Amino acid sequence: MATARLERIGKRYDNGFRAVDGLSLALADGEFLVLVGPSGCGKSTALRMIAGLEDISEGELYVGERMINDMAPKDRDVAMVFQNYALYPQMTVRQNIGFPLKIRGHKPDERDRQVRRAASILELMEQLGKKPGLLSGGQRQRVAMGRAIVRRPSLFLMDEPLSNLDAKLRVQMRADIAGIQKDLGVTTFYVTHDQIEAMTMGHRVAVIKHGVLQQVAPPEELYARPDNVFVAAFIGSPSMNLCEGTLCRAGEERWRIMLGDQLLGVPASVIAARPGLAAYADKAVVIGFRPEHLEDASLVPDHPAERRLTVTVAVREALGAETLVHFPIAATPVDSGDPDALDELGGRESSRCTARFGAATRVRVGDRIEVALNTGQLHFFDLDTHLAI
Amino acid sequence: MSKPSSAIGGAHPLFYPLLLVACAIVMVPVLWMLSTSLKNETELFRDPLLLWPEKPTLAAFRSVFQDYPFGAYIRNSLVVVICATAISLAFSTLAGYGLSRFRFGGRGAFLAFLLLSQMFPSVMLIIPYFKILKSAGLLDSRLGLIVTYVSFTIPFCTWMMYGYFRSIPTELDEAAAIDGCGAVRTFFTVILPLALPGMVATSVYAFITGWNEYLFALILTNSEEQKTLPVGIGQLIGQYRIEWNELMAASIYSTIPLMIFFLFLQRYLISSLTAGAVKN
Repeated sequence: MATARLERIGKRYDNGFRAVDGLSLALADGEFLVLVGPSGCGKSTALRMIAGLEDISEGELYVGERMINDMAPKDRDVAMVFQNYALYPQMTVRQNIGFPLKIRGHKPDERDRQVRRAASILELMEQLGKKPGLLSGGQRQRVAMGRAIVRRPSLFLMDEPLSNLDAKLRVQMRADIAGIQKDLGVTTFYVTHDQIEAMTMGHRVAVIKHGVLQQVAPPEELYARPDNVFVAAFIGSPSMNLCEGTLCRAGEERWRIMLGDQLLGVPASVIAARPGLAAYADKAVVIGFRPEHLEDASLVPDHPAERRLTVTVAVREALGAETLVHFPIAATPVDSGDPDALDELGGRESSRCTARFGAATRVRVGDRIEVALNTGQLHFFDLDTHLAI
Repeated sequence: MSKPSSAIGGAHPLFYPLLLVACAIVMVPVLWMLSTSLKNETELFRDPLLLWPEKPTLAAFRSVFQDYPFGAYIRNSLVVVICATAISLAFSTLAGYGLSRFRFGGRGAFLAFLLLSQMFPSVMLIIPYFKILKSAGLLDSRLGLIVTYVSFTIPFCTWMMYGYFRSIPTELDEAAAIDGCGAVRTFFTVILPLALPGMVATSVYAFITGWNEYLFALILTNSEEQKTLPVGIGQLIGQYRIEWNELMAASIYSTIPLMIFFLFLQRYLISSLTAGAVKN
């Protein structure tokens, strides 16, 4: 168990490509830190540098107080769970889990005790004699976990360990891994592209894009106060609606936003909470609002008329507990920079918005409806820098 | 991973009939060899030809040992081929692993060079080989033949092993490194056991290549004590007459070690050894 510190870690390839650029992170003892980002953002490279599977081009890596930049993987006292499990197929589950102990010269009876303890934590006692080929995906996943936890390393490294499991199993393993990590208290560095895993498992979440760290924060804070447009769009599902709008001063203490051709009132408290916002009066900004802050206006009759959008429903997805409604609004869309994001619905002139309505909504595709926007929950970003205001 | 078993389970109606025809085509020459070896000299040239001898005799099987030094031929062949196979396997396994796992300058060119070396017809090489072995004092020796065979088989065996190692996920090397293995230990404890089917296939190739080799053995040896089995069998074809029954008996002898070799190794010739290592 130890702390870990990345100081301006960078990975530059021979062709000049920078996979990771100036990444600085500090993991507290026992912390579960999730590094999340879209595919190809350098997050796995960062993990592999910590493991010692890739050379570190620049920066310094510490586990505890030791600088381990040039240490061989076997000497780093880290354990890793691979995306593909990477179990040794010629060995039984018992031998797989016990392998790190065997290599480190533990005696057979001691080894067996440790293996049994790990196996009982992971509910693998029945499978100890089997080879990986006979196991299901979830069991293989747990064997890979067992091989990591059996030797009590300073640091756990997990490279998208759940991405090969089916959806149901993933939800269960998500909770299991978080629980095991909590029980063992081992500092954990977890890489995923799935923001739901990041939000549900991490004590803190680090969002990375093109090898550059965007924001590190506890999940709630990341969700409530994203530092920039990318984080705002990446965290949350369905993601935040983002489009260009204009902030208008309608009088002393009275503000409006112009979204396309529609003018909406903004509570003074929103402006008061963001002192920087006054400087953007009558200028274009990026305005963000989450789907859950939109509601079918017919379900909230007392919602002020000046905070309603009039839209035409394009797509309706009934999910049971809620209904997702997609509609275009006539405002210029904003590219968040997430390569995995969906293409915009309406090209340059209109933005695709998603709303999360209560299940009681009666809207149908093609309906012209009023949408109540909770303008107290708006996010504002600079149009050029994409930074939060 | 393909599913050979289920393909047979739901067999096409023509599957077994076609298999029988294929078996017959393969078996006819072998059975003819057996039948000829059991004939005596008068039955050999009976008109019409006998499919099966009326009085089968093992005389030919005895005479090849009595009239010619077939024991020495067989021993020479075994020594040369087993040594050549073992050496080829050791080198090609190490080379194949290195080529599949490490990136270094000239790697692609080296692989291409290995293939290029296979493109020369052996008649073109035989005089250079003769001169090299002569200057090294290795003419007419088993060691000379071993060196020669190894030089043929290593390049192709290296390609075979390179291909096989590439099918073993590199995550296993990485997992082993993190679990505490150095490079050598990773190779011997984790990767090599998985490469067994590839090593078997490679050794089968090297063994057969050496066992059947005739031309170089003919040119590079000349004393009876150093000749190999194919050369010995070839000598049964005389200038004026061919001892067909002895020729066929000797041929049967020469197939026996191959059959034993195959029976012993065929259980390793399975491709599913890495099943369960990684999720495909």
